[in-house]
Formats: sequence, C-alpha cells, structure tokens
Amino acid sequence: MARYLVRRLLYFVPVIFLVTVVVFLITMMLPGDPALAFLGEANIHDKVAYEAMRKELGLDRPLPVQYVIWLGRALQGDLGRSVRTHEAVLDALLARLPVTIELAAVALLIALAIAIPVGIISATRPNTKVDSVATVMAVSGVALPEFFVGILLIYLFAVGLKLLPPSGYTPLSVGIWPNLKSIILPALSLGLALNAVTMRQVRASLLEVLQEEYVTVARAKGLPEGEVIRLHALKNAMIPVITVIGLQIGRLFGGTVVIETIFAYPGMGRLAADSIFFRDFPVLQGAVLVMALAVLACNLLTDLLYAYVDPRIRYA
Amino acid sequence: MSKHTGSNSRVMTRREFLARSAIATIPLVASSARAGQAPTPAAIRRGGMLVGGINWTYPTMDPHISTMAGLPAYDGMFDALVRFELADAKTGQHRIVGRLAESWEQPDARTYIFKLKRGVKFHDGSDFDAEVARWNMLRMRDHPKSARKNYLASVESVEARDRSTLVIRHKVARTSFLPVLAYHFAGRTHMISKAAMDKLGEEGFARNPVGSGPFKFKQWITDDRIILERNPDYHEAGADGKPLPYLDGVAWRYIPDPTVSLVDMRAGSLQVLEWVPTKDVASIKADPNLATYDMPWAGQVYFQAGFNMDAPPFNNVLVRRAAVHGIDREGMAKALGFGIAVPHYYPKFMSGALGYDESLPKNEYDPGKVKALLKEAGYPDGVSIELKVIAREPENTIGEFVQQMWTNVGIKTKLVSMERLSWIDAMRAKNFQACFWRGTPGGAVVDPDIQKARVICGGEFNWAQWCDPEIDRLMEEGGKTLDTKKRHETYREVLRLIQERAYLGTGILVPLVTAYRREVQGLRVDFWVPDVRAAWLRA
Repeated sequence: MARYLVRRLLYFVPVIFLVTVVVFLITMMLPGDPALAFLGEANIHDKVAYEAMRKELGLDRPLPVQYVIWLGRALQGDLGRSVRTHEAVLDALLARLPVTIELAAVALLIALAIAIPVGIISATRPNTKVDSVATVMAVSGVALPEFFVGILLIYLFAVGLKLLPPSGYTPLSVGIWPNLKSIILPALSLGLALNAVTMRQVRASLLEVLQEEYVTVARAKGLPEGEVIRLHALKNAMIPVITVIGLQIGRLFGGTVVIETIFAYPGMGRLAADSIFFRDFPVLQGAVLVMALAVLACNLLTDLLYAYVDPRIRYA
Repeated sequence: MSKHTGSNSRVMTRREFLARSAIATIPLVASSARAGQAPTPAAIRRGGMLVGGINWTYPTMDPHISTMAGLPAYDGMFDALVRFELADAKTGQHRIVGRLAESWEQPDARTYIFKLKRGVKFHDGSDFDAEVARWNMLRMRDHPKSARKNYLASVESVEARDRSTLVIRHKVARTSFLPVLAYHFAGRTHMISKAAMDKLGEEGFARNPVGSGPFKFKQWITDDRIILERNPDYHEAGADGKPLPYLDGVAWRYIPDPTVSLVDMRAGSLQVLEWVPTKDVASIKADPNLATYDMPWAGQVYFQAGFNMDAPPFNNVLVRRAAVHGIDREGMAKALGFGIAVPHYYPKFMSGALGYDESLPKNEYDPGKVKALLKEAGYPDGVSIELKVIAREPENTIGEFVQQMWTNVGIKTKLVSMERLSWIDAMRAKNFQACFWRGTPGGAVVDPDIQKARVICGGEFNWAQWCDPEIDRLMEEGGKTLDTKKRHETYREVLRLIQERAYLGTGILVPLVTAYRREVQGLRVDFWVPDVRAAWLRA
C-alpha cells in the first residue's frame, strides 16, 4: 500500500508539471494585456507607465523565461502578488480555499444524501412510479444548468419564503446556523447536479449487482431483502459510484466558479472568475493550479477508497 | 481676492457659485429630496448596521492609488478638503462645502489658501494638520501610481504656512481647482494618516487604511465586502448634537450580478444599492419597500462613437458627418431606454455645463443627408465599416441597433464584439475604424476642464485618440480663464468644433439611479456616490 502510494505520488510530478505548463500558457494566451489591466483605464495611453508596468510584471521577458521564473518561485511557495490588489497570491488562495472546500463538501454531502437512498429505491423498484419520479429528477438535474437552478432557488427560498439569505457567505466563526444558512442554497445548486449523475450510477450499478448469483444465493438463504442489499449488494455496487464521484470532483470545482459568482461567495471559484475579468494572471495561475492539485488529490483518494470498499483490491 | 467659508454657515449664491466653480442646476426628482431631507433630532435613531451593494470592487484601500475613487467606502473612511453637497433639492444645485477645510480664499488666479479644521484626528490618534495635508497633496501629485496625478499636475508648490494653513500654488492660473478637488473622478483629496503610512508601509496601508472619516476600517475581504465601524470621535456633529455618524457601522458588499443584488435588496439583506440597471428602475419604483435616488445630473451616455481619423473612410470629415447623422437617437431612447433615457446630442457636454448651447447643430438623424454626404465623399454606393464594441450589455444591444441604423442608410456595418481588454488593446493600437464606449458627461457639469482628458490630443480617456490642436488650445485657455462668460464662450467653441468636425457620435443619456430600502433615512449622494455619514435606519 505504501509503495503504491509513493508510486502514485511520483506520478503526480509529471502531471503537475504538465498542469503548470498548461495553466501558465493558457493564462498568458488570454486576450488582453495584464499591464493595461493593472494601469487602469486612466493611464492606457501613457506609454512610459505602460512599459514600466510591463517590466515590473516581467512581461518584457520571453515567455519561457517568465515560466521558469514563475515555476521556480511557485516551488518555493511564492505564487507572486496580485497585480490588482497587491495581496500575496498564496494568502489570497488560503483565505478562499476553506470557503470553497466547505461549499464543495456540503454540496457533496447533499448529493450523496439524496443520490444513494433514491438510487437504491429506484434500483430495487425498477420501472415503478417511484423509479420514474427518480428518473425525472435525475434527468432534470443533469439538464438544468447550475446557475439556473441557483437563481430558481434564490427566488424560492430567499425572495418567496424568505427563509435563507439570497447571497453572501457567513463564516463559521459567526455561528453554525448563520454559516449553514448562507451555504445551503449554493451547495444545493451544486449538489443537485452532482446528485443526478450519482443517483443514476447507483441505480444502474445496483441493478447489475442484484442480478449476480451471490445475491440470488443470499436471497435463497432467506436473508431479508434489506440485508441482502446492505450487506451484499451495495458495497460492490459502490465501486463504479466512487469512480463517478471522483470524476465529478473536477466538475464540482468548475461549478464553484459559476455558483460562487451568482451567490457572491468569497471562494476560490469567484477569485478565479474575477481574476480572469481583471487579467490578474498571478491569481488566476495560482487559483487554477490549486484547483488542479485538489482534483488530483481527490482522484488519489478515490483510488485509495476502492481498497477500502472492496477488500479484493490490493495495491502492491 | 475672494473668500469662502467651507462650513455649512454660508451658502454661495447660484451666480457666485457658477462664477467660481461652474456647477450646474439640474432638477431633481421628488424621491431624492425625500432621501436627503434634513432630519429632526427626535426622528433620528442611532445604531444599526447598514449593508450596501456595489457593482465594482476595490483594488486597494489606498485612496490615492485607487482607480475606483468613486466607491463609497473611501468616503466613509477618508475625509477630503472639500466636497460637493446638494444645495437645493428643488433646483438641483450643488455647492462646494468644506470637510477638512474650514474656509478657503483665492488671492490670485494661481493661489489657493485653505484654513484647515483644528483638532481633527486620524483613526490611529495622529493629528491632521497642514503638514500632513501637504504630504498628502504631494503624494497624490507625485506618486508614480497616483490616480490623481493628472488632475494635480498643475500644482507647483504646497506649503504648510502654519498648523492650520495650507497654501497651494499652481504653475498657471487654474480656475477649476476647487471642483476638481471636490470631484471623486478627478482630484478628490482623500487625506490619509502619514503616521500610519510610515508605520505600515505602502503594502501594509493598502490593506489596513487609516483616515479621519466618520467610519473606521474594520475588515476587507477582497472582492467580497469591506466592513467599517463607527468613528466615535468624528469631527462633524449630527442633527442631535452628537458626533456623526448615526450608524454603528456599514458594510459595502461587492455583488457582480445585478440580478442577485436586486434580489438581496428585495429580501432586505441589502439596504442601499448603487447604480441599479436601467431595466429594473420601473420595477423598483413600483415596489412599496423600495425607493430611488434619481440622479439626472449624473447620467451614463450609451453610444459615444469615436472614429479612427488616420485611415479611410473616417479620415474624411464627410463620412464622419454621415455617420453622426445616421444615428436615430429618438428611436434609440424609445427602444432601449426603458422609459427613462433621453436622446443625447452634444458629446462630452450636458445641460448645465459651461459651453453647453442648444443653438449649436445637433447633428440630428437625417437619412437623406447621410446619403448625400456619402455621395459627396466619393461613396455613392455606400461604405463598409467595422464597429468595435466591448462584449457586454448594453453595448452589444446598442451596437446591434446602430449596426442596423447605419446599414439602412448606406454605412454597411460589421459589428465586432470584443472582450474588454482586447478592445482596449485595439484602441491603443488604433486598430479600429469606428468604436463605441459608454461614459458620463457629468464631469462637464462639475467643470468642463475635467473633460480635458477626454477631448485633447493624448488625453487618457480619449479612447479614439482623435486630435485637434485648435481644441487643445481652447481647452487650455478655458482652464486658465477667470471670467465665466469668456469661459462659456471658449467651451462653446470647443463644442461647436466637435459638432462641425464630427469627432464624436452620441446616443442616449440614461440617468443614474441608486435604490434604497425605505427604512434608510438621511441617505445622500455626493454627486453620485452614496454618502451614509448622516444616514440612519428607521425602526
């Protein structure tokens, strides 16, 4: 197991290297000049200030040199400073990361809390009314974009029922309930989309497992149906579900960019979106890099979970 | 020599005021009068936290460097020497009053002497005096990243004559200096604590600002919110005789999506929302819980067209004239103005500004004239051009509208919708034929000298980079002239040349509207920036 973990971590090195190249190149290839963004519209015709700013930001150097300098600093934990706010990028990211992690975690919990029971019910009662309702729910969840679901939820729970705040984030330090109130709607918007895919996967996977001979044997032994599902079928059905959840983590982080903007949420997603708008490329590079690392870490966690769920899987 | 007191004790007459600072008289709507009404002491309720919404984010807490000087938190934390105040809700007259300056005088055309308030302290306990004011003025003039330096470039010297006397001398006569100092988007002199800057350094100060304003800095979550708390030692008193502000604190939240911020407002989690989208104004006015502060003196002009005059076809004045006569402003206002926009005919000037004269040609919509002008210019079968706009609303919609109008009269227009910074790149490189941007002619109402940056060769807001030495000369002359009548004639000539030589096209003027919940009392706007220092929340 330890060897497997080390090997997987070593695989990370070329992957992260590629990620840094892609992140750097994409951000540098975006249309619009960061020096102009930084100077502000009042100084765009000031050629002296413009050249000075390009020099200050290192934009006067060849692209490979800029990349090597950036990578060298990044390896030492220095992701530079925001060209707009002068805040250290690492500090900005560390301030935002907990907010996004909390949002993603609650969204994931909501998704699983709905997807697993509904998927089980749907699989154990195929082609019934319950299954049809679940299918409609899942298809709607996949078809409706997260931002649209978000706006619908705002109108329903914030404007109509006045139960929850329409936007903004209340830190945990203020209190658990205010914090939860501020997180429910954005997490629900993200979670419903994730839930739909997961629910379909639970249903399909469980339906397949329930056809297996060992399940028939378990039933023949007279075990109650609940135990058959819980003890024999579900664990095996979860392996492809875990794969799907692992793959959805990337989408979840991508979704935070839109949802955090709609809900005026001070997380990594909105930081990334704002940094695109303001061409704050050190922040954008840092935000995308951290998100890429988070996705890689989640994929590793997914692989490790396989061994926990299915003891037959052993990593040598 | 003239002398003015900056306190509320003396109000300049309209004639006197126009002579000094050329501030316009523009009628206000009833709701603004209601919001800004002087309160009776018994009606005031102290305490509470006001949450406001803004459309723009703060790049830094250093107000000298910030390119977003109009954001309301700066006015909360920092005081300026002078500021604008709505003098008459019926006529819409503004006046310049002192904040840190108690009074001022102008012994000659180049010199301004300010008497500063005594006993004012910054939030860190350090004193505000003439030496600190001098340091602030010089920093704003000389700092390489100063967003005010262009407006203070004419300052030759700043002298602290004694602890409460500040003398500012200009290299040349400077007529518009006071309005420039008072205006957010020009040279507003937010005073910061030198002691705090020395202690924290520039980067530290930019995240932990110290001013002398009615609110103290508490927390800034970048791109999310800035939270300010009451300064109990503020130097201005409220109507109840105790120090302002009435509120315990104020939070300004940055909400980029106007739909969400309006929902927040309706739900009660926001109490003030600046610059609501035009399309939402009618529904806000219909909401019994909401009110609006309409600012017709501070409108946005949508569709300000510029032309690349270095290349055909717009190097030909006849084609430019054809283009400006090809814009149906009445139609545009009806179709895109949501009932509140009006046609705008005079680029960079608006009613109430010196130089504004409706007897000058309006370059009105005239399809027959467009065709005749194109024929005369050598394009009898019409001309094909490219119009570059920023890819956002309302630019896209207005761009499509103009594309249709121009194409119908023989100017076959290809609309190129570009990402904002790419558009700026294209402007800098003069890689365009026609372009359009939004802007406000409000600066002309403050003083046409402020419009200099928009109409002279190389001006920082002269997006299309058109250049006319005659206009440069006139703008220079207008800035130095003391006689108001002469100034009016000078700026009128600028406007006449702009119209005759068709340097700029215009579209519609949309008044700015700030919305607030009805429990908010005493809200004011400082020109158009929400001012909550004397606001309170009704029970």
